[in-house]
Amino acid sequence: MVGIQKSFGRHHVLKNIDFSVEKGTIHALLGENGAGKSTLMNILYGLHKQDSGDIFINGELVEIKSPKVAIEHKIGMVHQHFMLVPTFTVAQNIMLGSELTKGLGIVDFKKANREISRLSEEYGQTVNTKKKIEDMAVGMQQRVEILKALYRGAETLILDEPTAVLTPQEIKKFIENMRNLARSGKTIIMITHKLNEVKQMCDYCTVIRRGENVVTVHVDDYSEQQLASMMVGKELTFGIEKKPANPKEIKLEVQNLLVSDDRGVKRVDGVSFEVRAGEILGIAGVDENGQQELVEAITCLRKVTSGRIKINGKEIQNTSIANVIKSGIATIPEDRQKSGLVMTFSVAENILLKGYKGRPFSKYGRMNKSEINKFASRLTQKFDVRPKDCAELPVKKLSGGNQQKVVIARETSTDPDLLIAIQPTRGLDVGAIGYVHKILIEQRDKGKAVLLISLELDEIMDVADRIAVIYNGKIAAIVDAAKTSEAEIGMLMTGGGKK
Amino acid sequence: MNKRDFHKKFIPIALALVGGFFVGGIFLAICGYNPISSYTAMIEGIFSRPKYIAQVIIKSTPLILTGLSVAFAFKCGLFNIGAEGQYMIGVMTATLVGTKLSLPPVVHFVVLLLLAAAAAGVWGAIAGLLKVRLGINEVVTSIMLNWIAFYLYRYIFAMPWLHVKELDASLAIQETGRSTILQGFKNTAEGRAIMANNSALSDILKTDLNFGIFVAILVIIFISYLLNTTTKGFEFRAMGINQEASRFVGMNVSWNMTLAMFIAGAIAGLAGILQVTGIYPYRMTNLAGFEGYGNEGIYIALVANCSPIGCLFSGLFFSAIKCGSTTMQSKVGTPSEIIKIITGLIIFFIAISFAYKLLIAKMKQRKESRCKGDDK
Repeated sequence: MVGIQKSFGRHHVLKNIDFSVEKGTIHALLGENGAGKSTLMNILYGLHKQDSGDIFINGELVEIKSPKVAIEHKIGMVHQHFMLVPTFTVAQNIMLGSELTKGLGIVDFKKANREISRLSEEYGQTVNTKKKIEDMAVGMQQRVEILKALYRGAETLILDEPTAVLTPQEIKKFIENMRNLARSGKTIIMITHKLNEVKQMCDYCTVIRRGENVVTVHVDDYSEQQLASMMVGKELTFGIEKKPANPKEIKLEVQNLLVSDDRGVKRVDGVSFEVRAGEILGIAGVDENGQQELVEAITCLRKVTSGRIKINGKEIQNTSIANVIKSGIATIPEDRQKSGLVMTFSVAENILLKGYKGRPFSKYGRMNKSEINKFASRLTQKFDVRPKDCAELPVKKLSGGNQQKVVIARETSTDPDLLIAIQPTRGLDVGAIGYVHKILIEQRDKGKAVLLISLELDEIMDVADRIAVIYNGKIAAIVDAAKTSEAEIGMLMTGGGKK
Repeated sequence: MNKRDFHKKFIPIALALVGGFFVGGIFLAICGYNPISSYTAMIEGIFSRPKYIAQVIIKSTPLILTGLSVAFAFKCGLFNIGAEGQYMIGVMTATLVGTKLSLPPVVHFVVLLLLAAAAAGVWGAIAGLLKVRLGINEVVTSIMLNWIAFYLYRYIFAMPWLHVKELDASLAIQETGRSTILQGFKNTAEGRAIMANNSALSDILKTDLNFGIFVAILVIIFISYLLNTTTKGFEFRAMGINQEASRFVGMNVSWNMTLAMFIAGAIAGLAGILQVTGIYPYRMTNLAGFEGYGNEGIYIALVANCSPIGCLFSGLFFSAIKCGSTTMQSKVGTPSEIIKIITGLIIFFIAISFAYKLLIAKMKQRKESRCKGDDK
């Protein structure tokens, strides 16, 4: 790809990008959120059209107008969110759109099953072709996606953040599979912002920063640190500096909690733990192991079947959200756009979304806009929300990281006893992630209790003082973060190493 | 709202209005009517006499209010398709209070207004409550409630203690309960004398002059204030855009939703109340079907872009073309049904207003790429 340019409206997403990949290699496309990685790959796969620039495949100038053309050129793409039909079997999904027939439009399942089994064995990715997608783990679903691309004859595979949804064990297996594929001559392009994986599996790495390509390097010649600083454009220190925790009295106490999901299936099964003032308890676990229901129960979004949740010794289960907030719990929600912010409201209105009723922000039910804006300006300055003086700007005009800062500003401004952070760095870039972590630790040092729920093991390891591992609705173990290893947690997360 | 935002919202609506009349004109031409003389007659029917202008304003009151009802509910994230039913409950309760209670002049009207608006509000709140408690979509319940209101209206209407057989109408609301202006005065000797000397005044007094429009304007001011300045309005707006976030920060969304439907119902009820208390014969009439104010409210809110102030102008506009079309029919012979086509076209053009935006974006893009081409 030579001189690729692309803009959406007035926004220049890609400015003169050159990108080339050698056959049979694994090539990482590294960059922060919004750097333009996905856009570049979407152009290669024909989902977007470049404004200018040319694409060459095997030295030949091609025009990729649609994914169909991309497939004809033997390019396959696996998106971050899988494009599979949950109620179809593996074979049905793989064939979808290019069915083998016995003629007359009758699908030849036998032949298809054989073909797919052969493919999967060839690449060391065994899957049961007759299983339905909805019954499969995420890692397996991903294999199906990859097989789907291979089935269509892909020689070049584009993977968009392939490890985001996998467990540590699945990631290991995934890396192995990718190595196999590369060895058999396939070319793999991987969009990512996880440096350790780049180091582990990739041969080359192209770093993109704000729509411009910085450099393409041999991965072996550079350390993670060096790659990271190329990615963000400044030197970064890894590992967050924090003093040892100084836990005091118990703030949140959860006892024998049982919670069911909407279908009545028990998702939290006898969970007990406590969080003390001045410590961060991290809840680690693979997605869908009951974390969501647990948090919803604590914040009163969901009814508790049995068990107790106490804040400062007072029971709060099955009361109301308003009561939970009044008792001193603040929450940084998992999906800031869906449950944290009113997107068309101004930054100031969002910051006051909780405190609007108190003086001086309102009096006798009448809001005082100037006081609200004044307060919001102060907070946006304190939390360095960009652009400057954004208090009256609609929050939707802010970047993801700055939106998250607005949520954090609001949730910490109510001076809570317990701060719950659910995936607080999801979708944020390295700079913003560091900032969010810093705030969480700051809150801890101020004597707040912090409960951090995250699917990112690194995050839990870096930030939490104690780690509770949740597996299948039960707490598998609670360990001291300083005395454990990723391997141990990884085992616990997947049901291994139970005492 | 800053200037650019205002233009962004206003221009598509203005274009839709122009487009509606333009394409409507084509329809007229195809059917063999002269669009220019038809439209001229329509404009004459709106502005040429004081009476006509008064008529437009009088007839706009129920349109403005049902429009406001829908617009307000929409701002709160609710679709009030039940304005029709709430309107009928308003008419019905107003008639009951207006005929059966005897109170001093001003008091009677105020009591009637409050009671009937509350009844219509409760009618709206039922849909809100069903949504909150049982999760039934308010669109479904309000449509059904419209029919319940309709048959309830017919049932009460037929009651012997209310129904006047000779007229096939209900008893008339007592004069103390009416919202008319100078209607009694024009029949006195003194009134007649003054009217004889002042043609403009006599022209205006021939209409069903009433103060409904002032009530409507007061309600608009109240709703604007409620939404933009009060904490409750802040909750309503937050709920309208993002219910989940509102719930998440501890707002009582269930209660707010019910309350919002109550307010929307009361506003639609007011439309009915002011209609029956301000327009001759001040009685419930036999309804064979819906009067259609509820549905009109939906497109009035749409054209107003759900702004309360916008509903005033939007309601006046539709009232004007309705009134103008009668003159058009009598003068030029163009069927007044054409305004239904024009209204339909306007709604259609607003619905596709995003297409304008696309078109503009595309044109800009083309311009940019052409500029780039020149550089080479």
